[in-house]
Amino acid sequence: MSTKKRVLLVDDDGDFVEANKAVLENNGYEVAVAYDGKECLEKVRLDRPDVIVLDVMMTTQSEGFNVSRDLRNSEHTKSIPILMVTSINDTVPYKFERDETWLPVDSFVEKPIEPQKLLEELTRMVKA
Amino acid sequence: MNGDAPRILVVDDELGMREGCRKILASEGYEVETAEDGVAALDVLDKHGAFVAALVDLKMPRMGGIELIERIRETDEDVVLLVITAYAAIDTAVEATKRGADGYIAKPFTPDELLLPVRSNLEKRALLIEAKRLHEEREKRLLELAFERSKSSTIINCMTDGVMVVNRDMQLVLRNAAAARLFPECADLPLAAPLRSLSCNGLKGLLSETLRGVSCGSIVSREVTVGKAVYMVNASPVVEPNGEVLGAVAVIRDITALKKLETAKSMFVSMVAHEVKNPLAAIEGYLNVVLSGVAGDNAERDRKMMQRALVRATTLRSMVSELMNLTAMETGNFEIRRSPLGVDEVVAQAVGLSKEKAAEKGIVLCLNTAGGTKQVLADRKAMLIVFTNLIDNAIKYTPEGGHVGVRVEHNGLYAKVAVTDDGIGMTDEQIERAFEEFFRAKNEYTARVPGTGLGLTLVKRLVEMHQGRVNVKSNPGGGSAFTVELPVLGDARGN
Repeated sequence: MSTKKRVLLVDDDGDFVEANKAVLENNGYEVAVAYDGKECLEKVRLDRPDVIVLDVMMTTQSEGFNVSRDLRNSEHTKSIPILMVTSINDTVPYKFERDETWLPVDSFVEKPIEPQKLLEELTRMVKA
Repeated sequence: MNGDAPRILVVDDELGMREGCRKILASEGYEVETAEDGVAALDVLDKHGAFVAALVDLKMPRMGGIELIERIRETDEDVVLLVITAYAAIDTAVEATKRGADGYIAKPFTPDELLLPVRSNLEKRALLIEAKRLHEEREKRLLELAFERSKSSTIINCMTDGVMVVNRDMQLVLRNAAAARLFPECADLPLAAPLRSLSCNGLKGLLSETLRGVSCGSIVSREVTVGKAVYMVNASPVVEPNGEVLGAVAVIRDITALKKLETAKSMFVSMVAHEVKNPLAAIEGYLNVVLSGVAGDNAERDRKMMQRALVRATTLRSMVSELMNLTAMETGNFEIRRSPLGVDEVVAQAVGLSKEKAAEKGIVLCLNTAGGTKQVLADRKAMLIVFTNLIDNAIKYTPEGGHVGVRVEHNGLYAKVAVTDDGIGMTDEQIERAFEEFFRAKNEYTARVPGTGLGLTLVKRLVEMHQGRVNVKSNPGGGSAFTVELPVLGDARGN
């Protein structure tokens, strides 16, 4: 039984996925990837990750939000911590407030994420 | 009249009378012509015209004095006509005045008895002529004034901007046709109706502000929303030269279309910013990983990352170039220099440029010109951009080992170039948006495919600039076929 924590990276930009995958794999994580919301929900269903890194804008403007809401609305997935990633100017305020109904995520980072920061955030989220 | 001596005609059958009158009148400075009867008199008038007065003897052969007077009056209402009559024939003289004579002189007469009536009648005549002239002038002036007023009125009503004028008491005193169109409520308001009956608070507020803030004499400008429309209203006070405020005038322009354009532009700028940020974020991401060492030492992997970063960088640079081309086309600064081109030759050149890309993916790229070819009048560089874009797209969206075919043919009027592939194809929604700025298909396959989203936009614009058209047929998993049609260059005989 693997003691590695599982991360699901979700972003439509293949390069973002590759760069962060390298960082995470090198630091003890097992990484799965998805390039859109549909694929994300599929992969979560098939193999429940310990944490999800999720981009806000993929095929549509707020796809990330819809996915996170879906995840929080399901018993099976609602406790998985979510790190939301965004370019500033996306349809969100810079300083985010955790709100169960509107912004169902655990943390927010601007991309590109500094590798060190990514590791810190995930460590914190996975422990909780 | 002019500076010449005034001319008088003396008509009398007696020579003595004629010469006597001539002497008397000449001594006063008049120029005298004579005639011995009516017929001769008319003849003289005909030849010389311009007489200020005529002295006419009542009793004459051939044509009597009265008849002559009537005849003269028919054509000249200003000339002074004095009848010379024997004392005993006063009644006839009076009759003559009824028929058009201005007065009579009874013979025998002294020189003064002749001159005085002549003088006073001439003075009267001069006054009458002057009065007539002044009257005509006044009529003309009034006509001009009415014309001016109606001209101004016409101009104001033909303006495309609305004009509304209120007096100090905020009553509507003027509105033109355009204002009635923009504010239908005011169309039926009678003149001097209080403006407060209008429902548009923005307009009312603006006008009352203008009336109040007169001291600075400045224009108040504001956007006013009326339902779905947006108006720009400029209001200024109506001020007399002595500084007294009579009211305020507002000029109203419908800027709804302009606002829409502004919004579209803002959105476009946002889109561009987004499309620029993404590649930069990816490049920064890779650089962070390699430089921070957090992902450990792996030279091969790091090299791959740098290569990917390079791809994103060059793609971004192409995007900026394409954007500049599109903007140039939009603003009319994109120069195309047309010359007769062989379609097969340009297409072959494009195919040559893409051979390496195809080879890298093991894709078979072939050109078919068996359908015959024609010449088109086109800019070579533009055509190369069009065809290389289509061929590169086909290669991009076809997995390794696939096929891309380029076929050149014509149907007499149009030269056709079809680029087909057996790649991933497009959904109906993607087909519909294919030519949109920055639109890119998003799926698992395309996650690592570099692209600007502007290629097809550019293709469409360039083809349309050449009076051609481009369309696409495709289905998911079944490949795509893009067809460009361009008008064939006819020969001198219009074939």
